[in-house]
Order: sequence, then structure tokens, then C-alpha cells
Amino acid sequence: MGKVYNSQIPYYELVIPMVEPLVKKAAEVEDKAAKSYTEGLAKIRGQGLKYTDTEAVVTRIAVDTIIHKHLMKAILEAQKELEKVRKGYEHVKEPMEIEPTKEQALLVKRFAEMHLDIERDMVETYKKMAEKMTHPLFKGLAEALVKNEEEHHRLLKKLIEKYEEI
Amino acid sequence: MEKNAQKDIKKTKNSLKRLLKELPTEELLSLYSDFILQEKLLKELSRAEMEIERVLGKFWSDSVVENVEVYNLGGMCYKEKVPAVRMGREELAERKTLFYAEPFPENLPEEKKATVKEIVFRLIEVNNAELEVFEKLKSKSPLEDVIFKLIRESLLQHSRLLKELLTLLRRYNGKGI
Repeated sequence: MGKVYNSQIPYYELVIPMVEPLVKKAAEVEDKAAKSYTEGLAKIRGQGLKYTDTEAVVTRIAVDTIIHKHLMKAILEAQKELEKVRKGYEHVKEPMEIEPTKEQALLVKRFAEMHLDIERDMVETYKKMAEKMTHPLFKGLAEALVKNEEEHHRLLKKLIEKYEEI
Repeated sequence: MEKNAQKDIKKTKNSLKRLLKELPTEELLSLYSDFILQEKLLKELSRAEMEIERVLGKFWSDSVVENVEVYNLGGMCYKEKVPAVRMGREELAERKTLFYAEPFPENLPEEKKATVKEIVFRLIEVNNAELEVFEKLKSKSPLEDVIFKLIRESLLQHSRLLKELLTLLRRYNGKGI
């Protein structure tokens, strides 16, 4: 089965992701940046004059930065949750190291079969989101989610094939 | 639409959690990790929309363009009178002609011009700090990788826009900050 994660990262890091300090820093930087851009806008406006085009550029950047901030917050929160999950799975193994029992194989197969349909629905939902969204960052994110779900779909199919043989 | 996806993710996450207790393998845990990130992303997406609405409402409530289909945030579609800033990038590019022609109102006192330039200069410094962090970031999954790339691309675009704006503002009255 193909790995989901980048092979350059050590296995331990892949399975047990720690909260990356740089991710924390990036989330903080984006939070501050979003404030700076909106404050910048307020200062421009505060002069009692309208610089329509300067404001248009700064506002657009402020909007993008708010999205950056929330994207980084999502990554940071996900890494935090994974760190908690990790505590319960120190014994996690590579698939080849495990000899699943017939019951375990059946459980995985049943899960994969049940979720193939859900995954298909999710691909469709994200595709619709990608079509509808016009902001480049949201559109790019929805397209990334489509690819991520398509990869899951392939993985689930492989799981079914693999555990069918046991 | 996003609520449906959130429901699906929750369902899948719960089943995976149960399954992981039975058979903790790398492949199942990596699937679980992806769903955690997807769940957080969808949650933050709606929060971002709300914050953008708030900021736009504060600064652009009196600056409207009529009948323009604009930034479509999370499936919402604005067809009524909308703040100018919500226009897509193409529209903004068109507005550049105007932007280049007249950055400052006529007869604007020098000190006011200097203040605007100073604000833009400081925003360039903010952008540099953002770029510096994002250049160092390493992704742990393909989904993270795409998000980092999207943000980096967007930051580079901001850098170009802000520098263009500052050059223009400096050129307009022939003085630097």
C-alpha cells in the first residue's frame, strides 16, 4: 500500500506527529499580520480621506491574511489533537509487522467497504465547493481536499483487496 | 454543503477510532490524521468567513459596487450591492489602471501622503516577517503541503502588490519616506 505521508519524514514523525514549533510560530505571525493589516486600514481611513485604490489593495491583503490565519489555526489544532491521540497509540505498527486475525481483517474490510460510499460523497461535496468558490485560497483548499479524498478512496480500495485475502 | 462534509468526517473518524483500538496500524492512523485536519479546516473555514464579513462590514459598508458576482465564500453568493473589495482578482487587475493613474486625491497635503506611505512601508515589513516563517515551514502530510504552498503563493503576491504600491506612492510626489 502506498504511504499517505511524505517519505522524507521519519516513520516515527509520520505516525506520531508532534506539534511543530514553526507551525505555532506561523499561526502567531498570521494572527499578528491580520491585525496589522486591519489596523493599517483603520489608520488610512482615520485620516478622514478615502484612498480608494490603496484601500482596495490593503483590504484584499487583509482578507487573504485572515484566511491564512484560520488555515494555520486549523493545522495547529489538528497537530495538537494528534499529539493527544498519539499517547494512546505508542504501539502503532507498520502494516507488514502485523498478522491480523480473521476477525480483525473482517473489521477493516467492513469499515473500508462502508466508507467507500461516504468518501465518494465527500469527493463530490468538495468538488462542488471548489466549483462554487471564487476566492483563490478557498478554491485551492477545496481542490486540495478533493485530491485528499480521492487518495483516501484509493487507500480504502487497497485495504479491501488486502484484507479480502486473509 | 460543508455541514454534510463535517457530518461525514465525524462519522468516519468515529469508526476509525474504534477500528484503531482493534488494529493500530500506520495506514489507519494516517487516514485518521487526515480526517482530523479536514475537520479543523472546515471549522476554521466558516470562522474565516465570519471574520471577513465583520472586517468588510466595518471598512466597506459605504463603498459598494452593484450587481457584481464576487468572492464566493463557502458557497455564499453575493449578487446584490457588494463591497468593492470582494471583487475577484480579475476585477482588481482592471482597476489597476485607475490605481496607477491617481493614487492620491488632488492637492493632498504632503504629511498625509507620507503617513499613507509609512503605513504601506510597515505592511511590507509585516509581509516580510510572514514570508520568512513560511519559507522555513516543513509539511507533515500532502494536505499540509498544499496549504503551505497556497499561503506562500498568496504572500508572494502580497509582497509584489505592496511593493508596487509603495513605488507608486513614492513616485507620485518624487520623494521617498
